[in-house]
Amino acid sequence: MHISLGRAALVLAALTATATADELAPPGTTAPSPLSVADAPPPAPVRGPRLQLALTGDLRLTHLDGAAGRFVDDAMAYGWRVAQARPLYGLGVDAHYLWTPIVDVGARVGYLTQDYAAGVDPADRMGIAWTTVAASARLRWAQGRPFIPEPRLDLGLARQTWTVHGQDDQATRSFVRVGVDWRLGTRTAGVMLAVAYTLTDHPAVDGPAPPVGGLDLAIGPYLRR
Amino acid sequence: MLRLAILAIAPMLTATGCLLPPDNDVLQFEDDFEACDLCGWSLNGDVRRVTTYHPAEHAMALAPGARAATSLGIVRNAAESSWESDDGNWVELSTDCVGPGALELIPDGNGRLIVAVTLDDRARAPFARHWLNFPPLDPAVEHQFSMLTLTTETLPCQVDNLQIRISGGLYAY
Repeated sequence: MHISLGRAALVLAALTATATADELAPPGTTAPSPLSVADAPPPAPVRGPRLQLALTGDLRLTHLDGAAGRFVDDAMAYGWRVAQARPLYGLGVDAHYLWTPIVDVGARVGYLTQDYAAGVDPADRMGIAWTTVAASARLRWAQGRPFIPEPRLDLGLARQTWTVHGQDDQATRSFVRVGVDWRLGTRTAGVMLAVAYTLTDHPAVDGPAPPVGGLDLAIGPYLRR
Repeated sequence: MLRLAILAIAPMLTATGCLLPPDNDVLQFEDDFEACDLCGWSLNGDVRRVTTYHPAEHAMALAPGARAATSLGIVRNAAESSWESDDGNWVELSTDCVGPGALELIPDGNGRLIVAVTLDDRARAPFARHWLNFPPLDPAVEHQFSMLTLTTETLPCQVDNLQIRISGGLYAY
């Protein structure tokens, strides 16, 4: 008898621990609870970084510009002693907004310079300086994954300073830059490698116009935040 | 990809590392018409300094029948050895008149020579570089050149980066 009372106490304790008062009460004798349990919301999508900033060292192989051969011929015809379509070099800064659908939009500014010809006096040079600003769109088909080339298009304007015999002549030029970007790094930092081709408008010059288009190579660090 | 980029860039940098200094070891006279407005030239007819493809780039423009002259002080020494050449002397210029024109050496009456260039004005053409060789010069004799003249006949011509190169009797090109 003593053992039976103990078992009965254990069963009662188990029931009260796993059942609510509503479940134990007879039907129709309790009021409904004001709390109701809903399904858990789906997890919020994880958004990647919002902005990307890249600083690149730039090299443009101008001998691949369609006007390069003519420039050398014209420069020699006008009496320059040495003329070459030499590579422009300089720096560029990229900024892109990444939370747009499919396409990253941004801007790029850059500066490129080079001497293209020398006269009888070696210090007498023909040089070009290009200061550029461009709107940029990059197809985001890599979906944040690195090491996948992403096509890119830049449309821009350049302030061209053309120096001959130490005197500057300035003009505004337009250009289109088409190529791909590689992000070699993590989601937040790494190295950006870009290969592109730049097409420029034709200058209204009856003489040796230095070629400023060509194949672009750019490399430098990027940050994503 | 990085290896490809390096392979593409390296030959370019090697080939175009710097502009080579010009070879001016035989340059005896040069005028690019940039320093002043045809100073040093005596003009006969309509001769002007004009701007060409850049605000800093100028040329001499000669109207039909015009003549421009400038004095020279060039001496070509007599040869010091028997193998020296009678060649390797020329006038070099850029012009928009077709063809190199003609060059004569005319005695000036004082034992010296006038270098007389008549521009080839059969037609106009895009600017081009032309070379006019001197006639053979006796290497055993000293030659002095006192004047350079440029003449047009029927068409206007522009001339730029005018040079005279004299070998000095030591070199042949």
